[in-house]
Amino acid sequence: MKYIKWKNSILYFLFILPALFFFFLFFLYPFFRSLWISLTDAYGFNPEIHFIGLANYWEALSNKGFLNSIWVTVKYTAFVTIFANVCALFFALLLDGRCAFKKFFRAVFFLPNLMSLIIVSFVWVFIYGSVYRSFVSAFSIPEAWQISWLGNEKMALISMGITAIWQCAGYYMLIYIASLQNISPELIEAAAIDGASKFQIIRKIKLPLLVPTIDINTILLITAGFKTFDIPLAMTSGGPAGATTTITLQIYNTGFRSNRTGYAAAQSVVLFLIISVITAVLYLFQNRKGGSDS
Amino acid sequence: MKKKFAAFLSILLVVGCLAGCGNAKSTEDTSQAKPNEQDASTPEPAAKEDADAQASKEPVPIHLFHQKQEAQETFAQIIEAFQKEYPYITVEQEIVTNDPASILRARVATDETPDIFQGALDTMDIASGGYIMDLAGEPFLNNINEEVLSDSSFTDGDGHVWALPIDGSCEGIFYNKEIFQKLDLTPPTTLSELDHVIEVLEKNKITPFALGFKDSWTIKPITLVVVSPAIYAKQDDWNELKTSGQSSFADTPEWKTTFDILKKIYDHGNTKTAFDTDYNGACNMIAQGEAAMMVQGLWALEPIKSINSDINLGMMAMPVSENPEDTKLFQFPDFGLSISANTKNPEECKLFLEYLTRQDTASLWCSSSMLFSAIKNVSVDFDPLAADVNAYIDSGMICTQADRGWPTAFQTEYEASLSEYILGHDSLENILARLDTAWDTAVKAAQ
Amino acid sequence: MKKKVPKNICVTLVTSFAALIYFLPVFIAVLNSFKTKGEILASAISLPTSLRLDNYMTVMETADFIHVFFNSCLVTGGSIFLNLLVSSLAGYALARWNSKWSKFLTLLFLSSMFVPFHTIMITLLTTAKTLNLAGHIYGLIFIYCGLQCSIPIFLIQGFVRALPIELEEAAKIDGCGMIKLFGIIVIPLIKPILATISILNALWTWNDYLLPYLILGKPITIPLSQMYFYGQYNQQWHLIMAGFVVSTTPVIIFFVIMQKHIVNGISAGAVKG
Repeated sequence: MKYIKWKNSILYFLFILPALFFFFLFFLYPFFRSLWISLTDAYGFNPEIHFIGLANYWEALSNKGFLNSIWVTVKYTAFVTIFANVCALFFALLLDGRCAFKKFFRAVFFLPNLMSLIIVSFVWVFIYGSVYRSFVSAFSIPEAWQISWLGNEKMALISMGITAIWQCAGYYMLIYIASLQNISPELIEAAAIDGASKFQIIRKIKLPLLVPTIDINTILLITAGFKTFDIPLAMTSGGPAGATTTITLQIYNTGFRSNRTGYAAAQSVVLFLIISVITAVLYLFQNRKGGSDS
Repeated sequence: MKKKFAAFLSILLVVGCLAGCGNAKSTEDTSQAKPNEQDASTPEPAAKEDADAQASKEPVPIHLFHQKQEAQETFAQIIEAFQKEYPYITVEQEIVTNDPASILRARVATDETPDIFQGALDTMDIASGGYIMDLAGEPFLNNINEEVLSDSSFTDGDGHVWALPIDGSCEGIFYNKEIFQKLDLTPPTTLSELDHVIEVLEKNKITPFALGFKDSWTIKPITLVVVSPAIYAKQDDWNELKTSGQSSFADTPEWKTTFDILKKIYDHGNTKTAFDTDYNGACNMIAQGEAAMMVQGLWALEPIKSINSDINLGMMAMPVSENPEDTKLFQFPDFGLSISANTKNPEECKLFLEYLTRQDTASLWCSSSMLFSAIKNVSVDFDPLAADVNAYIDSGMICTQADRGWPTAFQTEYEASLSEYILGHDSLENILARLDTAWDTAVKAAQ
Repeated sequence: MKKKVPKNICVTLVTSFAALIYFLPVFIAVLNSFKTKGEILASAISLPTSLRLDNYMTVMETADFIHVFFNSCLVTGGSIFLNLLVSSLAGYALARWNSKWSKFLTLLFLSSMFVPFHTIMITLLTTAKTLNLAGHIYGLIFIYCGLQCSIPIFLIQGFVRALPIELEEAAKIDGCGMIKLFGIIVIPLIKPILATISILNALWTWNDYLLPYLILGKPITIPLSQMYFYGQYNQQWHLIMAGFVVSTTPVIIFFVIMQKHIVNGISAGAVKG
């Protein structure tokens, strides 16, 4: 009996081995190597590295550029998380109701999500630039009302956020639609018979039942927001004056432009810690809430 | 539905595998510039007598990587002529303008270093990793002007030559001569004269400076044309002094002047739209006469002239003080090509570089790219504007050093500080102090 | 049988309006892809004077679109295939293997979800270089397999756990070996979750930019070639918009064919992940 158990264990392990092999090689090893490199003075192509303790971390946490990139990322993530959720929820509620051509509209809202962020960014650079200028001159909008979409420090991050929301809202809409369909129609019919208006049904029945989904989408959006890279890279390269330099872009610049590999690794570990803490807190928060409900 | 799905997967795979076979080809084809492929077995009659011998050689492909978009046609011409002489060599050029530095780094890191490449500001860094072939002692270097070679940013103290300098360029203020004449203005040689010019232009509702700060690299030249005459022309060892702690950004008053002039130019340009306008937009402003001046390198001449070929442009040096003697034009080696240390065909790469140093190739290069040649006995009047530059050269009012020798990691910090200053993020004292720290960290990091 | 619900005109109108605004950027891009550079300079919101296809021809030729498209297919198809193979084996084993090791390995795989790609970006590139994988499509596929296997393993593990074990035990009593059992009995049972994983994987891989950029270094997949193209054709918006249309059309066709699977895949993936 023991022999069979052993044999099974080895067989199971052999099943896991291929996955473990790739996982070790391309995830675990680079990850721990990153942790190590972040404690050294690794520099670009130079093969020589020396242990320098936590110096890179102190530098990151006292460097204005890096702290600024964290702040930029937080603002951007907050903006995108809130409004992408609102848009997705709005579209989902529209499509959950008695709307005609549901499939078609669902496709329209979802399609931007299938486009590459790089090319979506270019389309929006065009819209914020040439298209907006043509619009201004066609309707002769007074100068005081004109907006500098990507050139203004305050506006650029919002413009980027709008692009991101446009691209991702459809994805979260699909998740909302799926969980709206799980709400039993009897519940809503009963409420309607009791004389509840449509908005009351949405507010009193649908929204409370959607709370777990809102939590999931919020976690997904926040982690995605902290990892944003393609949009600032393609739209603004981080300008003007670092107003749209996200953490990931900052890491990229430090590692591949300034060539300071060790320092970039330290910055990337800080990003990892931020994301871990946020995810852990959100999960705990969600679980506790779920626990008190039941 | 599941069948459909399985079908989709297999199509995806089959389609991909088919492409995989043609893959090697596609990697090279993506560059828009296709070389004129030459059939090695049929050499042109014009080729040299040893063409037959060469034709029997194995075909040799050379991959040329650069970021000089405006030189694409010229390179195509040069390559065609080169391949006539050496029919067994095929040169493929790839032009990358979008973040070429990172792309080159990625190639070097993945052992895909192009045979011949323009390392630009990263040349020394890449060389320090042992990825570039030392050109010192190659006979074709004798064709290069000695001063260019010794001043070149591609030559280090140990006598290694990491790139072949091909041409020289300069940075200064482009100005619209017609506007200046109409308003009875002369090129300013002192800061107060510059203020006067700005004042007159603004009174006449002409934007003094065209700014294209959406491309953040366009900000840096404005400071280089100041620091070169104001600091490096007087202390050419300022970098060493800074590194050893004998000098600093905070203690050098000319750095304050540099940032003041940058702010002045920002304030008296298309300030409101500066960060919405890119390099091409700024060139367009000056070409259409919407702005009277623009601080840029000589390379901007070609795009400006392509928009408005009739424009009467001049080039002048930036005033940096109240002393006209300080107003010197910033001149420097521009385009340089390096050979990869790991190239499979070092001899053929050298042949191509040798070809570039010939006088007729150099003349063609400089007249079409509108730059000064680094090759001996080649001088080209590519444009009326060249006379302005030559006047500075003849009177010795030039300076040659600015950001050469700055530590790599400092460059990005420096560029960031410029836009932060003009947008008022921080006081000048803080910014100069930050530059001091950034310099020290960058020097330490590169050791 | 679904009850036929009467449609509400008001809701439909609001939805149409929202969809119209949402679709406007795409519409503007398509319009401008037919214009000349001069027409766009004159106005970017006017209608094109004619339906000229010159821009499309230029884009297809200079960006070598056919090859780039095939390469993207190879990367996506290859990484889905390898990932399904590797993670279904591992997911099944982890679900059926009752020991502290399987719990440890599950946690190990799951922990990777906390790590952003940028944290391992630099060292992954060094690893790829050491293993001589950089610059090759197969190298990219292997790396994707290592980076993206944890969520599929997790999904498959959960799916297998919900399956009744009796079928497998009956097969074992009949003398069926583990590998045969996996191929004949388990794979057909877990097909639905494999479909979900393929969809999710395709969405992650097809449009990915940074990893292919770092590993391949050459513009040979669609997002990479778009970035190069943008650099080369600075300000030539008529060509960039044509590039947008050309590179987006295959995706739209794919969506129309696979709509049901994509929608189900995303909902299932999100609920379980």
